[in-house]
Amino acid sequence: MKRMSTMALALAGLALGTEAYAAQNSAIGTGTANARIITAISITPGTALNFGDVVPSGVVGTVSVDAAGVRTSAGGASLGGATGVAAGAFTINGQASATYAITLPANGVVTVTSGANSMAVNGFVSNPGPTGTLTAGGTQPLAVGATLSVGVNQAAGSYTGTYQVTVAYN
Amino acid sequence: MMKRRLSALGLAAGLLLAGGTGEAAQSSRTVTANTGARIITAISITKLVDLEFKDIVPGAAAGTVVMSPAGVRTSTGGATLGTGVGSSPASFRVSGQPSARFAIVLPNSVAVSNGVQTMTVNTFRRAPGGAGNLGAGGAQTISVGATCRVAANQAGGTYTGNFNVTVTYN
Repeated sequence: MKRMSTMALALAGLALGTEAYAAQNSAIGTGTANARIITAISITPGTALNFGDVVPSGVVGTVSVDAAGVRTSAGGASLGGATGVAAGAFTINGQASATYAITLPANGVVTVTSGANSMAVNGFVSNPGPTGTLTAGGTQPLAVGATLSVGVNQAAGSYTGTYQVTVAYN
Repeated sequence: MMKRRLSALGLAAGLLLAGGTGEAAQSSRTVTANTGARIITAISITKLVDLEFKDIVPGAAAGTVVMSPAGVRTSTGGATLGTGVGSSPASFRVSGQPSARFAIVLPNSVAVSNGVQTMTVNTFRRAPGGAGNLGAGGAQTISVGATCRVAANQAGGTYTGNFNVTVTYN
């Protein structure tokens, strides 16, 4: 209590002495807070990624479809009919002019199967990638390619599977 | 005028003293007391950078986006982060008397608006914490973060609003 009254006295003294300047004992700064609420990003699958017909052999090989839909083969695998060959296609929608990151499947994750038989699909690539920019209209097409690993004398059949593509604002 | 009246009184006192020679030492006493004042620099605060939450994607549920004083952006609930390029905590420069300490008062809550809808920005935080100290250089920079409350399906747009930071010598 004693300390308080001493302080009060001192303060009173100050107030008398610097009455005109009391306002400068403190100061106020004004900042602005800004935030932008944007449209959620979405991705819609279109055309499936299709390797077409593939002919196996006694040697392992690969068949690749790039993001432009161009098909090539390597090793013991060779190309059969090209009907239906296509890069995977997606449509991204969201905030106009926003940029986003594209995450493709890692190697070792995706397989295509036909009954008990399977093949690995690795080496995913995309265009655009690894980031994209939405147009002024808030949209952008995305194309995805990959590489199919064909085993020795891979069993005949129609192989199918699914893969995930993730887009996120960055 | 005052001065003249005082010297007249002084003369009268002198005359009295002259009348009572033997008691001269007892009728006037002088004591020296300390007095002092320090004129210090007024405290001031200047905004350097605004508080920028940047892009926020609302969800079907309410959520929050937190900007820490260190500039780390996080989200909770239904709100998710969009592009954070250019996001920042606010920063203010406080100037005044070297080595002086000062108190800092942040707002409890302010509104940001896109002209039609509003969001609440609250839970303001700052760094460094504790009492402010102007140090030898007579200045200190304060970073200020806060939490933006995003409603379910918050309408799109750029939201803006002002907030005050008050600093006072203590």
